[in-house]
Amino acid sequence: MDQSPLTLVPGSLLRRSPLYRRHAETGASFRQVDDCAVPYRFRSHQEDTDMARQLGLVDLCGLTKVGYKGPGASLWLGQEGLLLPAEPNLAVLQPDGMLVARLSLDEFLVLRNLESDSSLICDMESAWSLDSAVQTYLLPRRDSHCWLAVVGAEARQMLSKICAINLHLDEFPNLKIAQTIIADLSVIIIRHDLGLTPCFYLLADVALTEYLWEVLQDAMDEFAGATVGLAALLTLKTLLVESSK
Amino acid sequence: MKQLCCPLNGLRNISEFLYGGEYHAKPDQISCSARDWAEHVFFDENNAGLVIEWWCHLPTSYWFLVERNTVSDEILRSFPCSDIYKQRDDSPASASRDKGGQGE
Amino acid sequence: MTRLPLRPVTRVVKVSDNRLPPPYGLRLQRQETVRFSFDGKRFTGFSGDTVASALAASDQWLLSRSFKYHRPRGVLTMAGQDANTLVQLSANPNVQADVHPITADLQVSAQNVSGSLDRDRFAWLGYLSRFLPVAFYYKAFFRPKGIWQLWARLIRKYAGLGRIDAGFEPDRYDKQYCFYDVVVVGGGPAGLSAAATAAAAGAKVLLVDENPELGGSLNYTEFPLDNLRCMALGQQLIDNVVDHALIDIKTNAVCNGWFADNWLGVVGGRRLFKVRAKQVIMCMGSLEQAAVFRNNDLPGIMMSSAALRLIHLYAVRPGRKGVVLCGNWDGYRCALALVEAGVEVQTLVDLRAKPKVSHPLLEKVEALGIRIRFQQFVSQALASSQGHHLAAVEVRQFDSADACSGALLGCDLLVMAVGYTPAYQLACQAGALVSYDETAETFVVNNLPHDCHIAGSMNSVWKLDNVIADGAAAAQRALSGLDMLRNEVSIRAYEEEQSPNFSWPIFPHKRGMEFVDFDEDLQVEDIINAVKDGYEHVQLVKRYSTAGMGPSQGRHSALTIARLVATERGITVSETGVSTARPPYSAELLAHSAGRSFFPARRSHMHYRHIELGAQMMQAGAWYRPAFYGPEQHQHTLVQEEARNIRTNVGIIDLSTLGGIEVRGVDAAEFLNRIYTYGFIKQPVGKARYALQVNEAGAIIDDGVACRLHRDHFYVTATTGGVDGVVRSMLKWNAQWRLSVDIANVTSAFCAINIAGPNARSVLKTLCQDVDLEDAAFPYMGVRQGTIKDIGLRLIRVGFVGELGYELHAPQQYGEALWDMLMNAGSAHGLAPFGVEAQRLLRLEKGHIIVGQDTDAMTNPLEVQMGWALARAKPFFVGSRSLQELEKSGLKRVLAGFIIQGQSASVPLEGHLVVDKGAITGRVTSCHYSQTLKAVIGLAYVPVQQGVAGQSISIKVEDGALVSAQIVELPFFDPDNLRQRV
Repeated sequence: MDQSPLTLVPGSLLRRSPLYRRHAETGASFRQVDDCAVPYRFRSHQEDTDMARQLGLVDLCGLTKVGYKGPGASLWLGQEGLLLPAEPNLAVLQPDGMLVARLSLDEFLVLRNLESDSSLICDMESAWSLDSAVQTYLLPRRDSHCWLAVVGAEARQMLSKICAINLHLDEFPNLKIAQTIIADLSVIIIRHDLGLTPCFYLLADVALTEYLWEVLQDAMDEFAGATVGLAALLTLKTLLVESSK
Repeated sequence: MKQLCCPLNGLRNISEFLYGGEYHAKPDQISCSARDWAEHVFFDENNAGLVIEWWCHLPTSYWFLVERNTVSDEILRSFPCSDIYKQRDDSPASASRDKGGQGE
Repeated sequence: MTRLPLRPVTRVVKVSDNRLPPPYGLRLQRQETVRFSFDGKRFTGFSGDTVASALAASDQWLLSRSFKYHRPRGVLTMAGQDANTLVQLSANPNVQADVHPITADLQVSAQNVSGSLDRDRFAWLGYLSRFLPVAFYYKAFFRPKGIWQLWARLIRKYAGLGRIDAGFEPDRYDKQYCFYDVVVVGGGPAGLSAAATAAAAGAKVLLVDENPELGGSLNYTEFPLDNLRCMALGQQLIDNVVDHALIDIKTNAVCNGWFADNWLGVVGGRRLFKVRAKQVIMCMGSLEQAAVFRNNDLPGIMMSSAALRLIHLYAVRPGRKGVVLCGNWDGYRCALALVEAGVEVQTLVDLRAKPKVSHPLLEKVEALGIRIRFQQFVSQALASSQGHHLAAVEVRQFDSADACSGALLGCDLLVMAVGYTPAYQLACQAGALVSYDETAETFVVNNLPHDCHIAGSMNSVWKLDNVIADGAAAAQRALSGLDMLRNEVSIRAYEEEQSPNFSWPIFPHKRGMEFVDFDEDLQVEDIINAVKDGYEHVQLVKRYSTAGMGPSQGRHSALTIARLVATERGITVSETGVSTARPPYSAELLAHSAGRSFFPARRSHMHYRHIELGAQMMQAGAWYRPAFYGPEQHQHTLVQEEARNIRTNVGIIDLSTLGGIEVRGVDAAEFLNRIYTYGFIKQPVGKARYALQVNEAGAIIDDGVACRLHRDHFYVTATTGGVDGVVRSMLKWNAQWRLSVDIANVTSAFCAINIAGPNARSVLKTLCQDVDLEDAAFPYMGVRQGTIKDIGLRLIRVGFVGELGYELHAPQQYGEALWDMLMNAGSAHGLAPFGVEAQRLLRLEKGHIIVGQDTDAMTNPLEVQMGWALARAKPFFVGSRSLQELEKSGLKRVLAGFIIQGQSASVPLEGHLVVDKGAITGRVTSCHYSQTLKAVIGLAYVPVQQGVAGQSISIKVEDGALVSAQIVELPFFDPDNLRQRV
């Protein structure tokens, strides 16, 4: 893992997460992912990772994501080479780490992988047009929704204070999706464990990002959770590789 | 809190849903009497017993129909709109264009 | 930890010999001594003691004064079920001393006391009871009108409860959602058996109990005939559930409410658990009932179960010299326990006749030399000289009519064992009914919903083996409901001993003071008089007499009241019934129902830029929007200046809150044609059209512009507050029409800025090079797609403030960068940001209506002079039939523009009335002072004949004055719309 100092100023890029000010104030260092600054570390790498193993909150708003919807969407996405979930409210991991979430019979959400590049997702976006993709409609999910992650051993306990969905592993296994209401706002929850560490992605209306962030921080308080950076997630992911060897 | 089963999302707390009024067949707005039209717009049956209702799952904006007993508040079934609205509606009472394609 | 200063110690109470040796005292940790104070006196107890048990151990039995007559009260149930033990802690009022644990330096004081607990100044009120008949508040204090306000203050002083501490330190309470297959409420033998049976079949179980430990009555009940086996059974039951992987146990937790679909509110510690159960098994046991006789409320008189709890849970000897009053065998069991604990029991008063066949318990009691008085009752209790404690009871023969034949028995303890009621409250919340079994003389719970079950004594099953079997049977019924049961459920009848309920443990006394309801100081006569006053139904008796309205919610009065009312009315107890049980089952803190208040505040991506510029933010629906920029006290000047700058230079406003909807597909145009009133089929690509939406009744619900970006693609704007509803209505319509169209709410995906003013084009030209912005190439109501520095834009040329203007819609996350670029590029052209207030003024000058402000739920397009927006040639659009009918029947009102000349005129506010000869004829919907026009301008609904230019109307303003205004043609400013078309 790269330990070099990160000096990127998030405001220097045109695209900005709605939370960048908060991160800068709490001493985050940023790294450019795609065309946006993503909070990469808040403490030492080890401290961030240890925190994330217990309970961490991560801002992934900068990462690319896109939606496709319409009666032709599954055919078109299949032609683009994606593996699609068999039924709504499930996600499928692509070979390159990308996540394809099926939100209804004819609506899909594609989330970029955390580590490498996002060329596939970008290629797809540029291949799409109203004329070329029959009955398939692109949704600007990158801008319409924030993308946060609640990670760590206590993530489920913490979420159970504000989420009326049973997130127990038996009922809500890895790659399961729930579209529900948390704290009076509509949220898409996707379970995507990082190695052995439970991880829940939360996607909600981007105009409510700060509100959701505050709700989550408030719920985290008693668990001594904290904001962590993308680097911690990347490390947790690799732990799977180590442990499965 | 009461629960409602959404055909797309399964059993959820009723607070995730919006009530969309009673379902009833629409009169033909071109040929029906003013009285029938007013009945359709302003009145519901409000039947004590089985009714079919519109409900919308808010997080997904998904509309569906629910059969409910208004006496016992028991929900008998919920089902997708396509069970009732099986095909495209181009009837004169719904289409904005006449056959010559004139509509403006 | 800092220690709280103790109140000055007046007297040190000597530790008495009320404390029993181990193994008595299940809850005590004797190695840990705890000091606390009660009413300024210092006391000691053990860790595990409650306030009441520690005080009782020190011979302090008097705990509080009653609500109405300030009578002395002490331990009654020792289970937190009565109001006798309500005390004040330094921060918390109304704490139940019989369940609240003592902690180091806890400061406890008595409540509802005037003067001191021992010498209450209001104790004489009891002597007035004859003059305070039932419902005397209603009878005495209603005349003359308003007098209650004076009386209320006085009465509250007499009947006050605790004090709240206004300087409390906020503490953190929270909520949590939980999910289980089976929730078992009550951890006694039935609940333990049910939980173990359910978990053994693989169900996920939650076991809730209000006590600190599992076991319920096993922890204090006596099994004198079968003790070893019963204790072993109990231990086995507990072992079966503790550490079971599928059973979660919450002790010190109360299930306080049942709500639809088995949604349970469980309060434990600082959490409110919202538990969803597929099946509920209630094993909540029974509540022992008091006998009703004169002075039955004296400290020293308690339930037999309370005495047993004191002995076994807290190692407290409940008295020195005891008498047992019973109507069942439990009284005998209790007598044996009392003797064992060192209480001198000379007499057992049995309400029943002597049994024909002897009973082993009877023999055991007699063998101890206790005299049993059959068919006798306690006619009254007598107090010690100070009046604070029981000193003697008077016992009489049932058939004796002779007033002098009572025997006086000296005692400081009377235990009552006359019967129980099932703890039916939670079951009733779930829809169960309570009826009365005339044979067993007890309430029974029935008519449970299919996914709720009861077991144990709550189900009128008493013998331990039966209770265990009943718990298992309830679990099997629950498992059957879960499709987890392998074997058939066998229905068994249990063999029980005689019912523990005595039919009529009520002994009215000619001098009264036989309390039915201890909380509210209600006597037998009060209940009978309530019925005599005409309040015959048990629900009315409750409201009229306040019986059952106190903290114990009728736990100890419902049965007696039902019996009294039934007898008085000559109907059965079943017909009389009980009053409705509602949540919460037991008292809960406001902190448990309070908690987070959720206001999902929406912020634009440019939010902090507005704040940095000194904007006053206002709430617009769920959004924060800048009202104007600058200090609040200069609002008027600042708004006028922002408006002036737009008319002369250029301004920008954050429009990110504007609704945005993508409508795409081969039927997109047809779809819009059906939804909106105007025509869209022939709308050219690259053009925008005004889009007005009405509902089926023809009332305006929203407006926006529809931009055609492609033959099959419209980008439609909607109002900030309306967009969610618009999208939902579109989806609902298309669920019925099934057109090939996709509808997506993209409001948040786009930020938007409107740049308006004569210099708008010059500013934009410096930034946007790939779109020809000249009027010829990009005319009014044109739509283009272009870029500013890699940011993809949709540009719409609109004129909603009546100036040359462009709406720029860009991906949301570029919002702040786009704002910065416009601010920089505009600095040379006099660009300044403007807020909602200036925008409203400018729109008003142009006569543009704001849906929701200038329209109401009934407004149709014809009333607001927008007949031009109706494409009448279309055979259909939503609301078209209603509009046809409305047009036929003629208009009743119109929205007209008015003007008040001169700067000094008082400005009418929104909602001010238009009056004509004293009658209300309309109302103002918008009104502002316009610097441009040097006049007050506004919109108002007026009758049709008044809505003609040149007419004069009167508006009643703030202070009631009438202001005269002239109706004028709209718009007020630039009538030929030349400024927006340059």
